Amino acid sequence: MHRRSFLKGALAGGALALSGLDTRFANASSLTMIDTGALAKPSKSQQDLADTLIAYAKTLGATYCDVRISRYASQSVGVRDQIVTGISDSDSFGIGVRVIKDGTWGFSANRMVDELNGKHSVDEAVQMASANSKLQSSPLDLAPVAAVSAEWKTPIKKNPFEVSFKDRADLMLSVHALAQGVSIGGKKLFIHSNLSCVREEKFFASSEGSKIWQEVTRIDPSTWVTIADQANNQFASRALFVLPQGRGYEYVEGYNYKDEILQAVAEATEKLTAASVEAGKYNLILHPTHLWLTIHESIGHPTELDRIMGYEANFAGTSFVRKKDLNSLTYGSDHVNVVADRTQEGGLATVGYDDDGVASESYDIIKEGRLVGLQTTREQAKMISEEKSRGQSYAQGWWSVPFQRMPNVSLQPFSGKRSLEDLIKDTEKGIMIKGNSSYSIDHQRYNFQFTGQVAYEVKDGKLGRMLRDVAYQSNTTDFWENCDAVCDKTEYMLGGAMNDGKGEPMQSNPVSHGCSPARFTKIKVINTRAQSANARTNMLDYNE
Amino acid sequence: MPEPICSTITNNFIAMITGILSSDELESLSKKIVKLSKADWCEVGIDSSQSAHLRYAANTVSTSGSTTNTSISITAAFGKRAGSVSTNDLSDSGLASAMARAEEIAKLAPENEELMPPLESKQSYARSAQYDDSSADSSYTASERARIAEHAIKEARARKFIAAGFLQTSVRNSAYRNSKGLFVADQKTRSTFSTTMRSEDGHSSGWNKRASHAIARLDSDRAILRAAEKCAAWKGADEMDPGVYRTILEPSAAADIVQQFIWSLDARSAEEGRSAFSRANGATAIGEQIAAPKVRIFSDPNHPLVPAGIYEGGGMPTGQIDWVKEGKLTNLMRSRFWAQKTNQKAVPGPANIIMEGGTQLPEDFLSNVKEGLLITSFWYIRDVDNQTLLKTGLTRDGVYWVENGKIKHAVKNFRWNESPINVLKNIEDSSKQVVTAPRDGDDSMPMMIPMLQISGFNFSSVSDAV
Repeated sequence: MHRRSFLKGALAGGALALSGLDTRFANASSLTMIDTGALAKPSKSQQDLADTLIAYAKTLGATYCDVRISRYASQSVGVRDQIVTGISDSDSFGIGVRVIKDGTWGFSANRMVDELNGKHSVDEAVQMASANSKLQSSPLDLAPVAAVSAEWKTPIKKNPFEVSFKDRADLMLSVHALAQGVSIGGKKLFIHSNLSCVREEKFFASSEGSKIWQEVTRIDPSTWVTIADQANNQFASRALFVLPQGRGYEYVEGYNYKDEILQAVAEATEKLTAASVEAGKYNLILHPTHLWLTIHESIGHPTELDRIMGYEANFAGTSFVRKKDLNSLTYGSDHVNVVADRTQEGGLATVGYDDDGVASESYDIIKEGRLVGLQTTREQAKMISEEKSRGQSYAQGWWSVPFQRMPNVSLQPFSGKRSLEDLIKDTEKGIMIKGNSSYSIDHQRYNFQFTGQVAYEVKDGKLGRMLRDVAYQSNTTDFWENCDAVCDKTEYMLGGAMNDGKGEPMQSNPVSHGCSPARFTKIKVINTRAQSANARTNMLDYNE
Repeated sequence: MPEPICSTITNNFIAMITGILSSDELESLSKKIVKLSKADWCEVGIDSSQSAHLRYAANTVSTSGSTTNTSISITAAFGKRAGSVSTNDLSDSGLASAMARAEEIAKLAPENEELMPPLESKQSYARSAQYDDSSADSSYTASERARIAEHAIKEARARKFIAAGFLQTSVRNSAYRNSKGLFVADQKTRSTFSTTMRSEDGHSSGWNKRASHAIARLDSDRAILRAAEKCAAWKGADEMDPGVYRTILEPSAAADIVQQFIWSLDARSAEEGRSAFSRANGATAIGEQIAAPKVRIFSDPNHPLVPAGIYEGGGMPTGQIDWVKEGKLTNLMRSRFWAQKTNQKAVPGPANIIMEGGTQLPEDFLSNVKEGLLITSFWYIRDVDNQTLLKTGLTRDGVYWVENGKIKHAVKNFRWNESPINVLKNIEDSSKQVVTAPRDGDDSMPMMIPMLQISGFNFSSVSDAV
């Protein structure tokens, strides 16, 4: 997937009306982290193999070595209209060996998990590190971490891999049947769904004595409808606000598809004739089904230390945040409190340990508007004079090199009482946006533009008519400084995506972002139909 | 199109890399897998690859790595019911288990009215030409990766710049076989190199990127020099008001726009009324003048400078396809199912993308430009409105105001909102096409694209990013 960046092609929306949607506040402590003396998994032979390879790497002069032996399973059911278009089951197993030799990283991975090929990987990783060390300006200096022997599993209630494909297909077909029952006045309905689940089974062993077994499960549902008015050659789409989660099948079983699919068909139909927005400055109420992605792009990425240090300068980009901004930069208003948290229940980035063997934690990134924390790995912690890593190392698979990836980064709700209804009542003139759609931000994370699945006018404290062609543009710190209200924890929801892209070769990272609805004042809104040179200068239009 | 060869006599190749399957091994393994099937029909795809990379940043090496893998994907079907399984367990028990699983899923799956039987055994494929011997020599490519990175870092230090960059070399042998007897195999090498040079104060940045099937054709020295020159020339960028400007897109920026255009050419969505190429009541834009009259965009897997894959999913042969000719839309991609349903010809996706340009070399192209904005590359391009194919994105690593054939001054970055259809329509002039790679898009797609002069391009707001 490309690609390349985050959520390409995925229309999936947010998480409206998620029945049973937990928040970190309601269920903060249900993670299953067991310290054990000896691990039950993986097999003894695989544990022995890791020991052998680590010992072998040491004989070759490696000062550090870690071995990941992992299996990645994924299953998906695709449905279009009333047809199940594909059922697939994938499995990939292999070993990745990472070493430090002469102060430099080397990595080699192979699907053949045995001593002969494992030693070949160690040889290759060590040779690579040695050869590249002449390009190294200063040797790597990992922050310390205590050796641990541990197991961790995503706390799921119903394993999606154990639900029959037929039941999964039937669930999607039943949603589609509901949509097809709606009268849309001679127009044509198209509906697509995909229901995927993934599982990582990962054994990590390091030359520092850690041995960690983890089983991480995630579920990734998406559904979207398109209504085509073929006579007038117009069409409009609306994705459901169902989003991937670090949960089991209970998430889709508990999701309120029944109401939302009807609402989605109605809203896609209404979009065809909705009023086109007048460009200008508006107060925006951003629903969690939309705001999660704005948080991701404008807070999650700029606070990654590898970007700040220039390690992504050639691809994902750097950051407007500088190293010296830590504990001094005003990122937003006093209402803005943001936490990085790999322990959050339901979070896609939630794990027991990262791929450096560092235990997950929850910590502040922004406190009352001030930047107070960054994302680090063992390699990076000392760059900002911190004694320990924040545990943000992650590799997409056994085949990829671990590097700094984003944890769940979430806007904290207002500690008092404020519902979405209260916020709307308190807004004289504005626009409310639900669901994520288009998203784009520059490579230093200043200038961004977002659109939603649906937008409604807010007038005199009430929701008004639907608006179309709405996009907003802002600069990151201007935007967050204009946050003048956040709703309370009863409105909190968790959004997220499976495929946040970063690194070369690009790797995907699953990550969640929680928030309650929030209001942003005086934000620039453009009309997307009035964009393009041809629209602005009356040149030939695309379909003339 | 060159003389096609019979599917059963594909190029023989041997694996030069430990852990990658040779053509003989692909043939025998695929045969073995198909023999395991008890289904009405089955098909198998095999990908065997090794990829190695080196990254550098902040004038130092950061990560490097190598991955070797072989994965198989099986689809088995009973009537209109199908199941698909993929695995990288090539043991006898692993293969048997994968086939059994595919068949088990197929038996339980609901009927899929759109399921197409596999292709018949006689297909014509182009001759594969995307494999370069020296690019498959892992010790040579490892030394080249280190040499190029060292050169970039030295160049940066000499100029008081900070370099970041990425080098990747890969070898991939692949095959497809189905139970109707069709077998096809292909092999490819691919090397990519991109580098960024930033000034120490962070106020200027330059970039360049190369991609080819042959590592020797990367011309990395020139890429490093171009990135450094771009950085030097972008110092002291002025802020210009957003608006519509005459714009000159360098080949990489143009490649991103053309790729966005090509990916939207889907027949089914157009004929169903949910595409920018839909017309009222099920008609499409095929045959319409959608671009400037000189525009020709086509695919040709046998092009010597941008050779590409000879087959796509399901063993479907790729081939020479005109997408836009004399400015008229000539083809939309059409799946086999949709082709059968609508009684039209199936059209595979693009194996590569070639856009014909003019006669001037890109380095001379500016000399004819009276005034306009010169754009080095685009970043973070996303869909905004599928009805008009409106996209948004940003400029990156070099925007310059050109007057009377010369760069007058550097300009700060912009966010833009524009439709690739408008860009093609508004082309005033183009250079000779050159091998290039999109920055934001899919750089595994071989592309030859000219520099383009566009009469108007809509810049929506200013970005402070450097």
